[in-house]
This record gives sequence, structure tokens and C-alpha cells, in this order.
Amino acid sequence: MDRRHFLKLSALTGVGLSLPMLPRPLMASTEPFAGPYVIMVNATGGWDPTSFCDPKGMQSETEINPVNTNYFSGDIAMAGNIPYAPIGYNETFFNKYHQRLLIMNGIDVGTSNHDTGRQTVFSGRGDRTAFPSLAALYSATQAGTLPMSYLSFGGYDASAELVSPARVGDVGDLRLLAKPNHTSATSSDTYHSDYAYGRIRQAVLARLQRVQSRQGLSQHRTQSAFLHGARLGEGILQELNTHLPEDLADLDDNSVQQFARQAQVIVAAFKSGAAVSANAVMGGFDTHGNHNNSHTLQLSRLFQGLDYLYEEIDRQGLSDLVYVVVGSDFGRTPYYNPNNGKDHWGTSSMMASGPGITGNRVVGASDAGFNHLNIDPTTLGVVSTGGLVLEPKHIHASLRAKLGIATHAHSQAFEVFGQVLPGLFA
Amino acid sequence: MTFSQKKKTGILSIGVGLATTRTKSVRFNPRRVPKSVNQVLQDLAAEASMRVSVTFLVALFLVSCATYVEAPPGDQQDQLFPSSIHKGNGSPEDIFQTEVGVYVPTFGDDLGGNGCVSDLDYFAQDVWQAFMSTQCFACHNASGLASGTDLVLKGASESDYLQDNFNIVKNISTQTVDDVSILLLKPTNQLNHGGGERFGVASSEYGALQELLGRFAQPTDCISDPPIVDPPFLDYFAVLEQSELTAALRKATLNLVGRLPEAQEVASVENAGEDAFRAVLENILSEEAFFDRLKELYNDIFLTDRYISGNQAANLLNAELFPNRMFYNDLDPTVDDPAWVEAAQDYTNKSIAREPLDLIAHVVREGRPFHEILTADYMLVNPFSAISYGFDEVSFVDQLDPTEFKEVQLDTPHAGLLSSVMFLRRFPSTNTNRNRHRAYVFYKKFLGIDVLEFDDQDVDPSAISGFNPTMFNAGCASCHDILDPVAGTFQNRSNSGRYRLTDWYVGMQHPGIDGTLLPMEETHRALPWLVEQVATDERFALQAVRTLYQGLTGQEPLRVPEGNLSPDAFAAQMLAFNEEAKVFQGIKDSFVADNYNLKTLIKELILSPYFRALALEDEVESELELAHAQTGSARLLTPEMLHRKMEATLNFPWVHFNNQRSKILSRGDFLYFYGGINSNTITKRMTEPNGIIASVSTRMANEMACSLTAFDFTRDASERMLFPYVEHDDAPVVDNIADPLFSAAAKTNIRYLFKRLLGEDLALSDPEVESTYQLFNDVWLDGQQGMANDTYSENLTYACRGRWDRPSNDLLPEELRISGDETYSIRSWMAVLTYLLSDYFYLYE
Repeated sequence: MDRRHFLKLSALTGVGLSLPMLPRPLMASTEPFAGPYVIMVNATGGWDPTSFCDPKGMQSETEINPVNTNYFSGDIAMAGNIPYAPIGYNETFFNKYHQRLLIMNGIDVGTSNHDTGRQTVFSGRGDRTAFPSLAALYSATQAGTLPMSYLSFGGYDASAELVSPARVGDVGDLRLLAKPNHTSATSSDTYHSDYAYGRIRQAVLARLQRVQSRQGLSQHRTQSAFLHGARLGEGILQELNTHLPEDLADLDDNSVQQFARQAQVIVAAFKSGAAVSANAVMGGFDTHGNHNNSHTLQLSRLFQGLDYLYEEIDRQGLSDLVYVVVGSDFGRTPYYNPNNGKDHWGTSSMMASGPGITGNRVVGASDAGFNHLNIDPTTLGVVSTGGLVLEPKHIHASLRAKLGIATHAHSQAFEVFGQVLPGLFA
Repeated sequence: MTFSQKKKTGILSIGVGLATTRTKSVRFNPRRVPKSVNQVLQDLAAEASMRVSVTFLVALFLVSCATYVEAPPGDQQDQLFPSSIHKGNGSPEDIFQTEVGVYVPTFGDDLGGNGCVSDLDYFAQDVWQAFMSTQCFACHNASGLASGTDLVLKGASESDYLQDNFNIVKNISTQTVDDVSILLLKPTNQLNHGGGERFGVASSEYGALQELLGRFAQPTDCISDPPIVDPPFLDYFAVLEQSELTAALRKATLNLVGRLPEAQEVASVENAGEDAFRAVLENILSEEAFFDRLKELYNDIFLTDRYISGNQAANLLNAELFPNRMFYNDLDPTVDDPAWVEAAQDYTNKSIAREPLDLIAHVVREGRPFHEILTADYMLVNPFSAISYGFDEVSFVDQLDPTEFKEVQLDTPHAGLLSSVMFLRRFPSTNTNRNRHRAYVFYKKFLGIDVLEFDDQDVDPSAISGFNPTMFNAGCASCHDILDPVAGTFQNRSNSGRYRLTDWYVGMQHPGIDGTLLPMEETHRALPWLVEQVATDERFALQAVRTLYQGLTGQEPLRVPEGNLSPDAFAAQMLAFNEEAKVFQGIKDSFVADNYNLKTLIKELILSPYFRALALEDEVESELELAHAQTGSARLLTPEMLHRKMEATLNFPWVHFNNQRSKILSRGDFLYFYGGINSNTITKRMTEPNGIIASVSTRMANEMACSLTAFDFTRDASERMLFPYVEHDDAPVVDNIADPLFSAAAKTNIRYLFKRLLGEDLALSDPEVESTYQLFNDVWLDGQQGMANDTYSENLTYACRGRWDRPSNDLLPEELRISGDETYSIRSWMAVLTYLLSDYFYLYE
């Protein structure tokens, strides 16, 4: 039994636990959340920052064991203050969005294990079981009782049971779920009259309350309370539906289309106040073979997807309300394996944007061998001696501070033990 | 290719070249526990913290080579031995009833007086429990990496382990370098230590060892050394009400075979109790549906259904070794049996994809020891996969039956699941990974050891540029010392799973496991050698218990408490953890004693309080309630389980009637929304409801009520599934004449529905029956008003009419059809049905 299970019981029984956290409320809220919102974009598999925001090209065609063989260092381009590798969709993406992007290079993820890396990058810690992702934590601190407060399309979405992530399948079916009493998404025919539907709903909720008050198992009381909360929020799907675009993204590339549809639903969920945070995901970065072709293609898909996401955020008028954090399990080796692939490497990068985050900046760096360099925690500049190694825990501690949740009981209960870097997200 | 048949077993081989049960609840008796429950819990926690070995140390560390498991942050001593438990009055009542060989710490005020802490107490609390049991014991045990050193500690499952460890540490402390004990020099790496620096000289651990050395030099003279006393008596499960056997039977049949119990099964259990229950279970566990359930359960672990669609599995077979892998592409329906041709691709791919899961089912079906899932020196083929693998001459009773399996052998060594190409593909390797991920999976899924949890050190990438860091960098070696030997036993399997003979890397740990090295003569069959080492390992058996427990109850096994918990919370969690461990140990013992019969394991689990717990009794102390927070199962049904429950209770599941495709199981419908997995990108089921899951269940309830209500009334009452006690035009008032019998009939039907759908056997006068009738009545009254003012039609919504047979969707004969609802009763019963199908006890088990 771990602490998260006690959240349930303490909320349920009122047993006074001296836990440094607040018990999770069991009743749902239907008050729309007004933001700001958080999206964590999971590029799963381990991306190669040297192929985009931490570029390291060949010095010459004769260079032995170059970091990359698909572009020369002399061809590295700049979008504002952000250098990028001149391949794939990078040029379009960075030139379009560099003003809002904060690039964090030279991050020491501290592992080359997928699961641990994913958890570390998206939660701030990799050494504790099921540590909540930042998106989950933020959701729990803001409006965790919204019935789909934390919307997840996959990636690292552990919530430590602070919130229950809501998972979405085919986006088109959301419309059907938004009208559960209609025989189809487009029909006016209903299964029950409005009165009957309301009366059933009233009876269902009343029965759930009776189940909760039974002497039965703690688990039954807790789970029935969760179901009760979930049922209270069913109607919010209707609101979300009104903000979904008439036409869902229909693109040539299936990966980009899937990501674009995720973006549409996430932004519509924010717009409707139904969600606080979300995970978007795109896989395919674990390129142990044929790295140049496969990885460049996948990065292009990711940046096209991010392009779609930013456009959707802007279209819905949420530009000043949405934080976007993009990361991956870890980086990839600064050399090729015998299969022309790249294996796992502990140095990586992350990207962030959002209200109050100054873009057009690169913080942190790596050396020519793609090893992290230390930075000064105050100036954030690279230092040759002293300073600190930029790690996910610093980024998460700083993000928590930026989001105003650093002192929340949930944050303290799930401490990342990282130094806040005041200038990072300023 | 050549193949041969083993005469005794009928195994074919093919040459491919080098390729504790309780039936009645007992009320907790405070008189048996002279202390307050809170105090007893704390005492138990202290005892439990000593006995953490039962599952934690034994299962995780006893024979493994871990180096460290993180201790809870904060002042662990305060958590493990809260100050309040140091204040017993030492009265005779504090001498608890017996259970053998468990160390319970004594506390200063109890026996020693004046706060005196004996040397053994100090060792137990401040050294062993505080850090040595994790930081040192992981390697310094009889099977660990440091087994060849002078410091070999005992695990907590061994008798007198604390006293013996105390003596062992005392003895080794006399070894010195420059007059400094190696007890201080080694863990701080001032003297070369194979495990690197475990802590610094400024650490609390170092300070504790210093004090211990002082105590060795000048033993503390308390009034008496702490005795080995017995733990307090507390029947942890006595406060639980457990379900009646008949209720447990319903839960078990739904869970295991997706049906309701037959009347004779219920009668048998009612008449003959637990023995009959076991007999009924034995029969249930022989049904084919159970084996499907078993495969589903184990797919959640192995996720090989990732390859179940299209040609995915067949594609993974090596085309050179298995040129007929996709033989179905060459079939000609004008020449071959059209039925066979049509089925061939689907059946072939499924049987290849599911070979590991089919092996599990096969071992259990045949009553073999469960460890044969690892030691099987054969693989399974059915009439379809036999051709893909080249076993053309294997004969089957029915060439069209995909469920008929034969054991066959390739001429490469088999090691059950581990040599399955599907397993090896699902957990692939790379040239640089060198089978380490497979080793990780092996430890985690078969032995219950998550090696990554041993890693307490972040890996600095700049520090891994040195020579061979996986062996010589302490941060890397903490996991690699454990993983790499086992990784080496996968050496005969390429990244894609193909058998090969190769020289294994010299820069890695020698292949082996738990300190036993793979003999050179076994290198060509390293995997079979590996599984022979662990087949009867306690960890394998215990992991089977955990896996089945989670699969059947939906509950994760408890973990050792972690984090900054209050003393009360820690005590409760530790107690719960320890009691669960004891139950698991008992089930494991039964499983092993019955020659690893998995059916025995399942039966014991189902009869255990964790499956049958119904409620806590009244007036249970809050602390004990806290400990039981996770007892019993309250599982949000998986999409698969909900699908089967609809089949069982409603006679057909939620499907598109035009093509019979399940809406809850289809990826194109609601599988993901409802928390299902695809074994590929989504591998973890959702266990809590959210607004979307609630909406799916509402839609399901509405659609099923619509499809079934009028349809059920088209049948003769004796054949009805849902409404046998009323007619579709029965109503409280018909033609302005009140029906005095209607209320009773309706309530009888409601009572019937509660029993059938929710498993609740209510009295006719039960408030829940009354409440449901009120729902019917309110909707009915509204309907009368609506029809009177023409707001509502006298006809049913088209989709809800009784026009079609279910689930075939064939049109019913005209005379049977029901389209109208002049009394509004059908729509009122629809409301009742939606209500019940939305119920917590329908969606949960």
C-alpha cells in the first residue's frame, strides 16, 4: 500500500493522517476551468536533439565518427537566437515559432532506460514509483475534480491517483458520447424523454450516494464516490463538443493527423473549461537503425503536429493561456551503431512555451561530444567550473514555481528536490 | 528441413539449422488484545518492519544481486518505531500469544528500564532496519554478488537472523586496517569495496556503525537482553464480513468464465459448502472460457496480442527459416477448401501471435506444473501455424480447428515462453542493449523483481565515458551486475529472436543468475539452463500468486510503505502489507505443494478474504479500517469483463447489430475510451472512472435498454431474460382502472432484475426495490401526461421497437413485433433497465 491509496481512505473516512498533502476530494466539480492550461507533448522513444535544437553537424565528409552524417556544421541555421539543424521540417517550424520557444539543451536525464527516462522528463523524478506527471500534478492542484481534468492520449501519464486521467480513442466518437441519450450524434431521436433521462440520472446519483454510505468495504465506498464524481461531469462532454471543429483534421500523413486530432480535442477541452492539462503523444523516435531517415521523418511529423497544435491554440484564442512542454525519454548517442542507428544517451533537450515564458532563448548546452555542460543557476549561462548540471528536477521545480503550485500540498508530497532556476521560465 | 516425432510425448521436432479460508465472519474481539488497537497496530508494524523480509527482502533480495532499495525519506526510525510504542507498561498482558521466531523489538521502558537500549535492539533498529537490510544485504547474502566475502548476512526468513547477523557483523568488525574497522572502511569505499561507496563518513549510516562498534567494544548492560518474543495476537481478518459462498460463486464464474452460475452449481454449494465450492471451481477451471480468460490475464503481462492483427505475427517469423510463414497468401479458393482459405490468415496469424499465451493455457489445461511455461522443451502449433512453421506432416483431428494444438520441437533449444519468437520480439534487444531489457523483463515478470527499483543513483552521462562503465562504474553496475548475467543467458537469441551460436561479450558479467555461472558446456542451451535454475525458485511461485491476484481482483499487490507517513499510517500500511504477504505465502505453499498446479492457486485466491471480502464489521477501530483500505476487490470492470457480463446477464453484449462488432471491445468504438489496451501503444488499463468512462457506460445502458426491453417482451414470459413477471402493457392504471396487482408484480420483477444484473438478493420490501419502483412510476406518470397532451408518441422510438431478433438482427415475424407503447410501460421499464445497467454494482465487481 502506498501513500496514494491513503488519499482515498483519508478522504473517505476522515481519518487524520499526518500526510503532507491534501486528500483528494471525491466529489466532482463542474465549474469550468479558466486556465492557464498545460500540455505535455511526449515524443516517445528518445529523440535526438542534435537533429534539431542542439545541432552538431559534420565538420567534413572525412570526419571520423561524426555526431551526424546528414548535414554539415557549417549549414546549421538560426531562427532568431535558436540554432537548428537544417533538415526535415525544422526550418519551417523554428522560423515560425522561435519567438515563443524556450529551448533547454544539455539536460542530464540520468538514465538510458525508456520507462525511467520518460518518468523523469515528464514528472521530474525517475526514482519513485508512479510519480505524478507534471500535467497530472497541475490538474490535481487546480481542478482535479473536473471529470476529465487530465486528458491523456498516452505517454507518461501516471497520476499517483491524485486525478484520474481521461483517455480518448477515436475523436469522432466523442460526439456520440456527448449525446448519450440520442440514438446517433446527428439524430434528434432520443432513447428516453428528457424527463425520464433526468429522472434516471437523479436515481443513479442517489443510488451511488447510498452505496457510499454503506458499511461495506472502504474500496467500494471510494470507488463509488469516484464513479459519482465522474457521473456528475458527464454533461461537460456536451460543452466540449461545441468547441470541437466541425471537421476533424484530415491530413495525408496518418501520424500527423492523429496528433492534430489530439490537438483539436485538447484545445477544445481547454476552451470548454473541461480540462486543466493534457498529454499529447507521438511515438517512433527509438531509431536504433536507419537513424537519419527514420528520425528525421519522425521529427518532421512531430513539428508539423506541433505547428498544428499552436495554430489550434491561436485559433481558439488561448495563446496567452496555454503552456506547452515538449520532451522525450532521453537523447541519442553522438555516434552511429553498426545498423546506422543511434542508441540511448542520457543528454537531451526540452522545449517550452507559454504565458510569461520569454521565447527566442536557448538555456543550457552540450559539448561537441553531446555531454551536458554546467550552467550558472542564476545567469543560466554555461560555466566551465562550478554551477550545476541542468536536470529535469530543476526544470520541474522551476515549472512548478512558474505555475504557482510549488507550495501546494500535492507538490510537497511529491517533491522533486530540484533547485528553482528563477530565470528559466521568466 | 527435417522433422521428427518424439515417440513418448508425441512431440515433433523440425530441423531448421542453426537458426486460508473463512466461511463465517468472526467479530474482532478486543478482549483478546489487551492494548488498544492502535497500540497493537503499532506493535505489529514494528514486528512487521522486522518481518519485511517475508515479501520484500526475501522476494526482492534474498537471492538476487541488488545493491540498494531506497528507504523512506525522513527519520525512518521514527516511522518504523514510533515513539508511542516505546511506552508499554510492561504488564503481563503485554506478553502476547505465540508465533514462532519473530523478533519484536523491546523498548527501553518496557524491559530494560530507564530507556536502556540493548545492543541487539540498537543493531536491529538503527543498523539493520535503517540501512543494512537494503544497502548491504542486497549483495551480502548467500547468493549475492558479495557471497564470496567474509560478510554474508542472513535474510529475515531465516531463523534467528537478527542475532546471527549481529554476531556476523560483530565478528567482521574486528578486521581492521590501520586500526580502523573494515566495517567503516568498506561501505565508505576508503578500502576498495565492490559495491562502491554506499555512504560517506558524514552520513547517519556511518555514525550508526561507529556507535555499534562502540557497543561491541563496551557492551551495554541493560537488565536483560531483549528476548525473542512472540508477536501480538490479532486476527487481522476477523473484522471482515465475507460474502456467502453462493455470492462468491457468482463473482467467480463471471470473472473466470464470463457466465452466471448454473442452478445446480448454486444448489450444490448451498448444500455442501466449501467442499462443493471447490469442486464446482474445479469444473469451472476446466471450461474453455477459463483458458481464454487466463490468456487475457497473461496478455496484460506479456502484451503479445500486439501482433494479433493482419500478418503482423507471421511477418515476424524469419522468412528464410520459415518460408511458409504466410502460406495462406498462396492458397487458391478454387482449389482449396474455401472455408479453410477464408480462415487461414486470421487463424494462422493469431495462433503464431498467441503461442506464448496458448502455452500457458496448455500447461494449465494439461495439469502440468506451472513452471513448464518456462521449461517446456516444445512449442505449440495448431493446424494453421503448423504449416507456417513447416510441420506439414503433423496430423490434427480437425484441420479447421484453430484450438487444436500439438507439441512440436524445432531443433533448437526450447525454454517455454522465453524461446518464443513472439516473446522475444515483444521484448526485443539491440546490439548495444545486449539482451538487458529481456533480462529486466525476465526478473520483473517471472520473479517479481523490478531491478530498476534497486537503482538509487542517477546516471551521469559524462561519467559513463570511462572504460566499460556497466562493469566498472558504480552507478551503472548497481543494476548491470544483476541484469547482465541473465542477459548473457539470452545469448543464443538474436535481437529478432532467432537462435544462434555466438561468442558472448567478454566485457560483460559472465552469464548466469544469482551468482551461479552458466557452465561452458551449456552455452548452446543457455536459456533452458536459466529456467532450470528458477523453475522451483520461491520467487517464481510467489510471482505467480501476485500475477493471478492482480488479474483476478484488479488490485496491485501492496508495496512496502514509503514516504513521510505518520506513525499511524505507517503502522497500518505495514500491517496490511505483512498480512497480505502471509496470505500470499500460504497460497504459494499450497500451489507448490500441489506440484505447481495453477488451478489450486486460483482456488485458494478465490477462497481468500481478498476475493471474498464484503464489508468491514461495524464499530471497527479507525486504525484497523485504515489497514483494510485495500482489502477486497472493487474493480471497474475491464472492457472485456463488461462485455462478458453483458453476455451473461443480458444474453448478448453491446454490439453493432449489423455486423455484430462489439462496441466496448472495438478500437474504432469505445475500447480506449473505456480504459482498454491495445498491447502496443496503450498497455496499462485504466482503473478509475472519469467523465468519459461514465459517458460510455451511460450510452451503453441507454442502448442496451433500448435494444432489449421491447424485444424481451416479444418472447413468451417463460423465455424472457428480463421481464418474466410482467407484460408489456401491464401498468398501474389501465383504461382508468387501477390494477391492484401491478405493484406487486412489478416489484417482483425489479427484485428479479436486482438479482440477475447486480447479484443482490433483496427482499420485496427492500428500500432499493421501492426506490426503483418509484422510478418506474414517476416515468410512467410523466408518460401518461405526455401522451395525453400529445407531447409523447404512443409508439416507441424506432430503434427501440421490438422488431428485430437479438442479437441476430433478423426481423421478427410480424405478429410478434412490438412497436407501440400505449401504456408507456415499455418506456418506463427501459428507464428501470438503464438505471440498473448504470449501477455501480453492474460496472464493478
